[in-house]
Amino acid sequence: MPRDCHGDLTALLPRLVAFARTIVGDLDLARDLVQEAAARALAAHRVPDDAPAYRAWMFRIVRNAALDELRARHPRRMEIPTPQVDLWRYDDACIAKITVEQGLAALAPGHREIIALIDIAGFSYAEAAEMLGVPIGTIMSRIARARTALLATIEASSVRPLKSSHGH
Amino acid sequence: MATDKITHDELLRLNALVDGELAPGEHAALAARLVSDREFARAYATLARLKACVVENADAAPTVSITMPAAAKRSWRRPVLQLGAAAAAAGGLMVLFALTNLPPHRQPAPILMSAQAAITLAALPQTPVIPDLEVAGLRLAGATIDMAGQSRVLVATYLGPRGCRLELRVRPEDSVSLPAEGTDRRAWTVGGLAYELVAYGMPAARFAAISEAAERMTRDSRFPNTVDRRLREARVAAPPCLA
Repeated sequence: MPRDCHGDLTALLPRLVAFARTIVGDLDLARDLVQEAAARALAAHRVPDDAPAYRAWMFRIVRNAALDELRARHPRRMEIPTPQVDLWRYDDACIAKITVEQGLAALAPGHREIIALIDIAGFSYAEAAEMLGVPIGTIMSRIARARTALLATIEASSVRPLKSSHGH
Repeated sequence: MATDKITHDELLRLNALVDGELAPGEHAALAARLVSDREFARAYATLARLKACVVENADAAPTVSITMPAAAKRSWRRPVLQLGAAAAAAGGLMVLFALTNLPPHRQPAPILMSAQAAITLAALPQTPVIPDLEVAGLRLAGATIDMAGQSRVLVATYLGPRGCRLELRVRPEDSVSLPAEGTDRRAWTVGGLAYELVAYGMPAARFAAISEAAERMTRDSRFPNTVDRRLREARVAAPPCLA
C-alpha cells in the first residue's frame, strides 16, 4: 500500500473529529474513535484511489465506529419536544453557537447522525443516501426532521446567549 | 402551531434549498416564493442560520492531536485494529490472518471475523493467543464474540474431520465466565486473560493432551517439540468424537 494513498487523511482529521463528536457527543471519545479509524485506514489493504471516494470511506469508518460506540451504551431516551411556538422566529441571537451545540447534544442519535453527515461532513444527499443505503427522498425527510427537532430542542432549552451590549 | 403554515413538502424543499440540493428549475420557483412570502422567507433564514451555526461549531472544535501510526509499521500495538479496518473496507466480513499471536514458525489459520469483533478484541488487556491445533487434526473454523454480562468473550471454534468440536473462550480475567455445555473443559489464565477450552464429545484422553498443549501454547511464544509431539499423538488412533 503506497503511503501517499493517505495524503488527504491529515487534512480530514478535524472534520472527522467534529463528525464523530456530533454523533457520540463527547470530544475525547471522538478523538479516540478517529485515532482508531486512522490506524485502521492506514493498515487497510485496499484504499480508495480518488479523493472523494477516500473521503467517503474515511467518514464511513468513523461513522461505523461511532455507531458501534452508541450501540454499546445504554440508549439515552429523550422526547423531542413538540413545537408549540413559532420555530421560525429565531434571530441570530437565539440560534447561536452555544444553543446549537447544546441542542445537538440533546438530539436523538439518528437526528445527530444525519446532521453530521450533511452539515459537518458535507456530503450531498446522494452521497449520504449511498452511505446509509436509503433513497435520496429519505435523506431529505431525515434532514428536515432533524433540523426541526433541533430547532424545537433549542426552543425548549433555557439557554440563551447574552445579547451584545453594542449600541447601549 | 406556526409550522402548520409550511407544509411538509415545502419544508423538505426549504431544507434542500439550504443545502444546495435543488435543481435549477425548482430553485428559481422557490426563490420567487421567498420574495413574495414572508413566512417562507423567515423559515428559510432560520434553517440557513441553523446550518451555518452547526458548521461554525464544527470549525471551532478544539485542535485535535491524533497520533498517526506509520503505515509501514504493520505490527502496531493493537494489530487487531488493522484487521478491523480491512473488515470495514470489505463491507463487514474478511479473512483474518493476523488476529492472534501464534508460534513464530506457524502459519495462522484464517478466521472469519467481523469489524465489530475486531474492535472488541482490541479492548482486551492483551492480544489473545489462539493456538494452532492443525497438527491434532483440528481446524480453526471461525471466531465470534459472545456476551457475558457486561463483558464480551472471544469464542474460537475448532472442527475436526470426524465430528470433533472444541471451543476456546477468551475473556478478561476479571469478567464473568460464559456458561458452556461441553462434555469436558480446561481453564487457565495468562496475562490478564482467562482461557477456557471446552470439548463437545471428545474422548477424555485426547482432550487432556490437546488442552494441555493449547495451554502451553498460550503461555509460551515458543513452540516446543514436545507440544507438537503430544498433539500428533492425540490425533493418532483416537476414536471419533461423540458430538
